[in-house]
Amino acid sequence: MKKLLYLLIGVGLVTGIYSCQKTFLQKPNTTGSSTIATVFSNTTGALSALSAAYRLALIQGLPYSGLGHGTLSGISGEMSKGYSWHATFLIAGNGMSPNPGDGNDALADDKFSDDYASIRKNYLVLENIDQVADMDAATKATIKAEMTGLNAYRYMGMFIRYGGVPIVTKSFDASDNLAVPRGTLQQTLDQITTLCDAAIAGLPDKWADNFGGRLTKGSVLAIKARALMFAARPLFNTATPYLSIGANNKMICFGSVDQNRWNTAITANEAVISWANANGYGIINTGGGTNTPNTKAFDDYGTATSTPSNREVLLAYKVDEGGNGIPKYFNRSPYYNLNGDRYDTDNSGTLSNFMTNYYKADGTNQTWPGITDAARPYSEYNAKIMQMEPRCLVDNLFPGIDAANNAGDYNWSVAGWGRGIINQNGGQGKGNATTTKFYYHAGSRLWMEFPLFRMAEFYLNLAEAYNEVGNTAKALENLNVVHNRAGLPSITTADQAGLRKAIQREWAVEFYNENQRYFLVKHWKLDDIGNGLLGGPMREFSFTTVPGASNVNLASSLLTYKDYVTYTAYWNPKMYLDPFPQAEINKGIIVQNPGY
Amino acid sequence: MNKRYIIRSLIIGLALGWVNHHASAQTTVSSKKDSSAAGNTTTPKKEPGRLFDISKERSTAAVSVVAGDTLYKTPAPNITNTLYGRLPGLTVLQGNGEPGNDNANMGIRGIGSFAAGTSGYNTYKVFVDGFETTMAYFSYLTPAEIESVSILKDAAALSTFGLRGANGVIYVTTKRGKISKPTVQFQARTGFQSALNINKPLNSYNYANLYNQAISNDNGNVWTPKYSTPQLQAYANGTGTNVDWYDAVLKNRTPYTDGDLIFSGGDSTVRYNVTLDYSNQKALYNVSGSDITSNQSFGRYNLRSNLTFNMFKIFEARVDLNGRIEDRKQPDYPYNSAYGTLGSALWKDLASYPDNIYPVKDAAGHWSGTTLYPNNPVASLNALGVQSLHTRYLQGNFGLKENLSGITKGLYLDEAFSFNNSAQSVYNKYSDYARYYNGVTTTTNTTTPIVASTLIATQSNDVKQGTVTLGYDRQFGDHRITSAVNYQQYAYRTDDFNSFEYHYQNISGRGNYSYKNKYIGEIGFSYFGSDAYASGHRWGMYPAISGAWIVSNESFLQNNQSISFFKLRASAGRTGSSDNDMSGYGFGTLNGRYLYQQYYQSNASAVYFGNTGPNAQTALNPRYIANADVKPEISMKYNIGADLKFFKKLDVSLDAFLDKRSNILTLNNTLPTDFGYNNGTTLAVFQNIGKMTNKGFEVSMNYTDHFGKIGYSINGQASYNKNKIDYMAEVTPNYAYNGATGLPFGTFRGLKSTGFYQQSDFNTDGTLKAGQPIPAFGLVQPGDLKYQDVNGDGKVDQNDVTQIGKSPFPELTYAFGASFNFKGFDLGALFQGVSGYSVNLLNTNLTSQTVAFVNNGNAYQIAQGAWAYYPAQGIDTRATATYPRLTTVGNINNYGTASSFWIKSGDYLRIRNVELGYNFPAALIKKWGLGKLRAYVNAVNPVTWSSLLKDYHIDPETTYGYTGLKSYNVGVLVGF
Repeated sequence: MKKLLYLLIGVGLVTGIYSCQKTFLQKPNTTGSSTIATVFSNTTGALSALSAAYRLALIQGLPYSGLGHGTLSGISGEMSKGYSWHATFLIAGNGMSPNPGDGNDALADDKFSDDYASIRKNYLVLENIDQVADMDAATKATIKAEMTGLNAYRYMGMFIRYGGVPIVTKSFDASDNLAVPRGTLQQTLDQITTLCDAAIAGLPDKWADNFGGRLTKGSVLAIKARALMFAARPLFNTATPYLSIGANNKMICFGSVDQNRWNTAITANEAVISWANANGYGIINTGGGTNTPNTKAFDDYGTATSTPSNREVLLAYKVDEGGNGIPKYFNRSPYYNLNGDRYDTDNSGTLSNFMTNYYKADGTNQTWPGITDAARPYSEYNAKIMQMEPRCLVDNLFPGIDAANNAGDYNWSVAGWGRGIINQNGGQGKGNATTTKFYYHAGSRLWMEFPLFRMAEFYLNLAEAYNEVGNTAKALENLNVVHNRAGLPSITTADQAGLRKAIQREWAVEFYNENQRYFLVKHWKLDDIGNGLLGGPMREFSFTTVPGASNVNLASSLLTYKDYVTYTAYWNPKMYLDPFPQAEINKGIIVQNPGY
Repeated sequence: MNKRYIIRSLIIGLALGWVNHHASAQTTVSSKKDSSAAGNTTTPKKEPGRLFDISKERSTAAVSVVAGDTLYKTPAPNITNTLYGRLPGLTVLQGNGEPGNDNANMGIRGIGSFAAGTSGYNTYKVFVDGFETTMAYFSYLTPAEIESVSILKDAAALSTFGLRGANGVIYVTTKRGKISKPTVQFQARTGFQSALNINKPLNSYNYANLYNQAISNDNGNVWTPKYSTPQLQAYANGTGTNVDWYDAVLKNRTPYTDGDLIFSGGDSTVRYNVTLDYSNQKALYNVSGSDITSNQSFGRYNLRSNLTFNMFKIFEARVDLNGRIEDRKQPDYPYNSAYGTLGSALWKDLASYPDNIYPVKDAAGHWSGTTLYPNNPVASLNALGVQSLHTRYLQGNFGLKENLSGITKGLYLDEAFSFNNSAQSVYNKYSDYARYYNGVTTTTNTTTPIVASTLIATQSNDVKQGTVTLGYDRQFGDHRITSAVNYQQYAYRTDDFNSFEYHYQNISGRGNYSYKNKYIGEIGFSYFGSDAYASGHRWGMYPAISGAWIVSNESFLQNNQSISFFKLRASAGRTGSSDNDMSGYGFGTLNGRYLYQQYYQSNASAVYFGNTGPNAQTALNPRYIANADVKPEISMKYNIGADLKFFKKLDVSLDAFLDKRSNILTLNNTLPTDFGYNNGTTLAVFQNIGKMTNKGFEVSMNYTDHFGKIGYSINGQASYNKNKIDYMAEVTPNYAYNGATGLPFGTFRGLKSTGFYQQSDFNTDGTLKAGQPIPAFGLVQPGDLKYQDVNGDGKVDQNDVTQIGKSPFPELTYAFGASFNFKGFDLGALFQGVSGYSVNLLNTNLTSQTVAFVNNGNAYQIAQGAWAYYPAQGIDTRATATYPRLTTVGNINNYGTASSFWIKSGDYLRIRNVELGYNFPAALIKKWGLGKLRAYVNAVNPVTWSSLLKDYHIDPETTYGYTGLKSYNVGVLVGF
């Protein structure tokens, strides 16, 4: 009897405990946060995943997702190279490198792993959006088109930087075959246009005000237009690559020169402009007309480059990161002295090399002193600056001259600037001016919307493409849309080579500090690329000041100015395209670009 | 293996051998057990183990045991700080000495897996009375309530632990009553604790002199002093500001008190052991207690009542109740922080605030403070209020054992339940003070009256466990079987900001069989289920097999005079681990759990949409890339050992082990990037692909004898371990020597420093002369650190990174001691040391002591060896420099790059404990009605030998933060 009792107790206990075993080892409900299932169970969660996808997709080329510190302007001949820990400083010194540098897996202008992380995130949204219960089918279709468009944007960015890249068409599992080799240049371009066409078909022309900034038909037309322009430009549109990688040359050039690539590009760019005209976007020009200089050029250009959500910008990187984000690299005013970290953006002044691109307000060239010239009085400098075109004055704060784009604001005046803006005694980095672009009438606003596509680009694309196919009239017409808007009289140069130079100069000025020049100079294969454009002697002005001056930024403190070579930037033809990270090459699947 | 350490181990081994030889040559009369010497460890006869205890003789496992009474010899409030040199195979490194926050770092047999994360140690599990408990519960147990602490090291000892076993187990048993007449024992001790070491910065005069050099270096090597000669003179003659912040904040010594009252006894029906404990420790801060100020203190009130009842000859019931209160009080700095410990912030200020910044108070009696140095250390103690933390533990274990001999002899069933709950609450009384400098306020802080916050519960966690055991223990003639199977269910839950639960189930068993007490075999297994994995991967089998041969029981040795006991042991088996400290990868709270599910986390900064201002959207990012196949880490352990006794006096125990780890959850950096991962804080890939090998040995010996009327005992032990990362899927290095694979875990890697650049290395235009490798950190100058171009490509960069030192985890831990007793007096000492580890002076927490001036920092004696050349000022250290040229703005080449220049040996030897005691003669105290009376004095950590301490004034264990402690104590034990 007793034995039976014991056994019953024992068996009862064991079965009792065992019975709750099935659920006991399931993930307890107090642990963890949202899973993919909960994120995509409702609209709010899905939109949060969508905004995260936007962020990573559009950050390409901006600090933290490529250059760890510094902007592309620091290696494009627009600005000085920054401080010793900046990627720009290192690249200007020894070139891009496949080995890690400045927090990136390669010392280059792109973070390669972010490209595919971004594509993965886009696909995760695309593949899971159908799970959302409280969202209608049309909205889901639109979101899929957006993700497709963001993928096109990233592939376009890689196309310009690397040439042909591995093509991924879904979010991989670890069990999938991950050994995807590089596609050819043509395959990569086809991938971009295919993605663009699919996205364009599914995207709206306009978003409600609260969703402004998401991809529209127009912004994806713009992606396609830019990609096709780079396909037509000489770096890729050639039979012989800049350096050979033997059998793999089709990863870095098309293998033939085809003038028709310009015609394809013209069609794509005209499509952007006609879409823009139909949907309220366009060049902001409130004081001029065809072949008439714009009398309100200063304000119009300032608005186009600075005012959030203006009608000239098709797509912008809309992020407010507070004290420690990307705007830090663009807003040099004392308003940004939040963490005492303004030194991160110091030593990045506009170079003499670049200053010569700006026109005078009357459309003629300014004569600046060269390095062989002796020091000249500051008054002359001041007078020359006052003669410059509006874009020059919107873009820069000059020694002794308050920032014109925030006139009357003490913190945008040289008196209130706080830190030095001049090189003294052969110092380095302050350049000839410091940038104020993107902050026209910004006052204390720290955040900015970095423009990714601005309408001026497509007019200049058309000018360039029409000129290459010999249609001078259309080339001039499109060029002058931008040139006149800047308050300058029409350009009339008719010979193809001269016009090409004028168009390239217009690109330089119009898109100063907008992450365009570094790639354009390379894809145009300009002759002087290693001699003052990207590489070679980099020049700045050095000033002398009144001894004992309390604030050397003031006009009254400045005595003379002189041009001099501040450093010699590294250039090697291998840098026409970016290196893939060495760690990636070591995996044995993809082919490195030549020279690295 | 490193030859130097093999040689060193051999020397220690030989030294022990010499001691043995000479000791054994004395006399063969054995002395009675010596129970009072500081260096001696008393070993219980039974070896504690899971499911059942077994006699030491029949054990096949590698287990080290120390009695609670032995641990009591080291007066320290935290039990981990009593373990130095007590348990072969356990490495113990002292943490800081902050009251209530002073856990030592410990590892059983070194480090077996890189899943430990950057911390390396503290991956073992702790079981108290058969139930798993938290580290926090274990840390402040009192030795008075502990019967023994064991560490379970090999597969045989860990066979039933499944996924809790891979990194070893600390197995604690508490004291239970024995059948005896009632006894009452009272023991108390008190003493003074003081700083083990304070690395004081330079005084104002020396600081300012060096600063002038640094600022001149930054100004293009043009002598541009910041401090003028009159200012320097003022510092020299004492009229300038010169505050020794350590002196201002700390006092020389602080009291520690600890008392226990133990009732014990029992008969055949009820046995009891009740321990009542109180201890109190104060910090070294020089601040008086009041309504608004308090020294930091830690107080513990502990009651344990272990009761055993026998009923009807069948039932044995156990009721163990333990309640503990821990009171922590401290100045409220940083104020309003529920979790902030005072030590980290205040001691960083002490280390980094120069002596000349300001007087403690200005002439008007206001607290000084500036924007650069806002937290006046004296005011941090006196003007910010107090914080009070209150922690309660309640543990109740209930067990019922049924003797089933009625079914078959030796059979029993045992059910047990354990509830262990802890709760913490905090309240602050906080105030603030205005910072003044030169008569004006410098920050936005204003002096505020003290305000009390409401009591906030900050944490509550509990463990609920239940086990059922079916056991069988019987002897048939020459055969002896001891066996049990067990079912354990474990649920841990914590409620705080990161609420989470851990669940597991474990079906395990052990069977020990011995034949004629010569041949012993044991099998063990665990079938373990963890909630960390997807349903197909939750359960796993972890078997072990072991055996022993008692050679001395064979006829050919039975009558041997010199070898009294000789046993050989061997074990092999597998255990596992489901933990992975992923904090090193930015995944700290995951701990390797639920990776089969795709989690998302929200990010603060996102894009925003909309045509008006920047209204950020919430962003949800995938946390990592889910892996449906994720499963536990596997450890295959092999152990061989021998236990010997010579002349019935000399005990020797030897063990050698091999631990092969596989399936270590690893951040996979080898996949093609097109997979879309970036191994940053999101989209990382974790897979069970890591492999590691760990091996080593342990030796311990104890010799007991007497010399005339002087009894003595000599003991020594050494534990050596060395691991190697076989595979960790790191970013494929360009050169094999760049990588961490193939090196021991945590090995320091960096550039090899080859001295300083001299002026002769440069052309007149300041460029490096041809033939010298170009550093990738920007331009260099004379006085900068020069590095070896390992790959010979003319550049010094990441490709030249290689092994530059050992790891911060010692390879060899050793201890030795001796004790003597004579006519009631006893004297004992315990020495303990480690070797084979490195300290990186550029460790983030150490830079405030080692990198001068950068980030407005301080300067220490180390900086006085800086390279400098100012002939007009009579400064020329070009030939004698021991430190790079000074700077105030930082320099990546010199101070931002890991290099062999900053790697120093952390080897040390300490006297851990010296004790002199007197046991009053039984005849005398009997008159006073006492059973036992003992009084003693002892010293803890009185002497240290270390090159780091000698050369850089940095303690090798407690390199930064609240100093480690030494103490001098008196104590008394009264037994009735």
